[in-house]
Amino acid sequence: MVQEDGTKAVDRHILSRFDGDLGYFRGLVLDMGQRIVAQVVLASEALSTCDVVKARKVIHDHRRIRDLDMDALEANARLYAIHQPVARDLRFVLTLARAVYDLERIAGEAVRMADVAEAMYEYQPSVRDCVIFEDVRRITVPAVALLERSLKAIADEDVQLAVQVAFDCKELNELFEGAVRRLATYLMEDPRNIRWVIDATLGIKSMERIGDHACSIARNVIYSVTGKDVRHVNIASLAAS
Amino acid sequence: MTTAETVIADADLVGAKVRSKAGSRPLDNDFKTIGEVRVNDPRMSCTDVNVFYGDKHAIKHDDLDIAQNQVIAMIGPSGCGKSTFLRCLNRMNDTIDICNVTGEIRLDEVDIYDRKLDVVPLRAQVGMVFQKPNPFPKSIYENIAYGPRIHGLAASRAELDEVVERSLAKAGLWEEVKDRLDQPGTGLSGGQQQRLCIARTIAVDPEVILMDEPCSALDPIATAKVEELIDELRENYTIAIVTHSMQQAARVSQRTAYFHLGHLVEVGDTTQIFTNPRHKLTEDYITGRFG
Repeated sequence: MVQEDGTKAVDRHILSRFDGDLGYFRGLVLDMGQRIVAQVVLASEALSTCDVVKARKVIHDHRRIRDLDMDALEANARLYAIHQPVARDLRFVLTLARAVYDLERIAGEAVRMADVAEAMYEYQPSVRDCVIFEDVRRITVPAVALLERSLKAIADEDVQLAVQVAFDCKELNELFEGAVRRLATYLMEDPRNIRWVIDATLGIKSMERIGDHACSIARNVIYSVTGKDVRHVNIASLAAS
Repeated sequence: MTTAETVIADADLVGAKVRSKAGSRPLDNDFKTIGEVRVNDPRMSCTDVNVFYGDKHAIKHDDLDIAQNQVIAMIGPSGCGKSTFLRCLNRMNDTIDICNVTGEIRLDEVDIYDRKLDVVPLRAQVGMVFQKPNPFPKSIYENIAYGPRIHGLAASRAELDEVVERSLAKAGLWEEVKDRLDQPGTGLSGGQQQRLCIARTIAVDPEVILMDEPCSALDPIATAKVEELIDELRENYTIAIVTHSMQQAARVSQRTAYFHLGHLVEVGDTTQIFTNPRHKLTEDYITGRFG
């Protein structure tokens, strides 16, 4: 049972300050994660509807993410300097630190999508209602779900959920490849489509990368709980590892 | 079973091991140590070692090899038997009347508990450094020269001078004391006294050095110097160290052994023990969940 301070009831340390500092770091990461989920959803809406207001809000709100990133680094450094965690604690702290890196990259992808949306607003592509914008919306759903599930896997230290997330990343990659194939047909039809097709590709690529980062978070959770480093293990041979 | 299910089942197994309630009850007498107790090239080899203090069973059927030119750290809560085990390695427990040791401990194939074996040369071969620095109330020179002299390791004064200089140099103390060798060893700082004791141990040309919490009475700078020294000494000697400092065990050793209530619970590479211990008791102790 996870307590309010982020520690598990059966796992409390003798030194309650460690529990407090670890709970604070964990809380920061999860807070950062929730804010980034909202950023990704908003960036996707901005891109799929060329909504400049939403795009600018994503760019504006990125400051708060940067602040949390710096707070997380400080909390992480404090844990190493004061408590020198080992074993499961060390693996969990390493996992949180790696998650902060992945989350910061995800936030960067959301800003990149917002930049694309802002650029698209400037030149107003003539094919606004074309199927490719539907693709942005379609790929957002599993990408955000992967991100939310990987955050839940951290929160609950749930290795089963983490393994499922690692496997489900494949589905997102397939969606991305399908979207790129459709985009290529627009290029073949009319060279005037080049600009928005490139922009749309960048947006969709960002969403695919978000899925990859979510997968990375999940793989680190597997390491945290089991001690097995599966970051570079092929998904098909994950079981054998 | 799908690949995903296989991974989940595997992870469940590991998780269940970690979450087991083993920490809340004593281990069975037939408990088997987790990890590889044997090594390819052992300097010392212990088999089924038991130690009794009167009726108290302090060490329970422990097996352990100590590899050449390696530092092995012995960790565990107070009263777990790690110092008792260490003291078995050069028969220091013989000095305690009620202490009875059974099992087999070999140093380079020689059974050190053989009744015919003389313990005096054994304790030169397997030297010991204690928690509190204990220099003799003699000059720095005499502290080092005493051992080689009684063991007949130096034929002349010149040879003895050479042994003293070499031992102090190996202990990283020569530069600090070379101009005051005639001054009392007890006049040195705590850290210097401990390095003097290490130099005294080295002077009789041991094969193994046992250290029982050698830094617990030292400040952080003196501790750092002794730790640095341990790392350098590893090149020529085999070292077993008992420590209560997890960080020290992690810093100085290549193998770590965790003791609990007389049982050797787990032994393994230090990195593995401190990043991914396999037994719940080890995990709980080193992470500070009990102690």
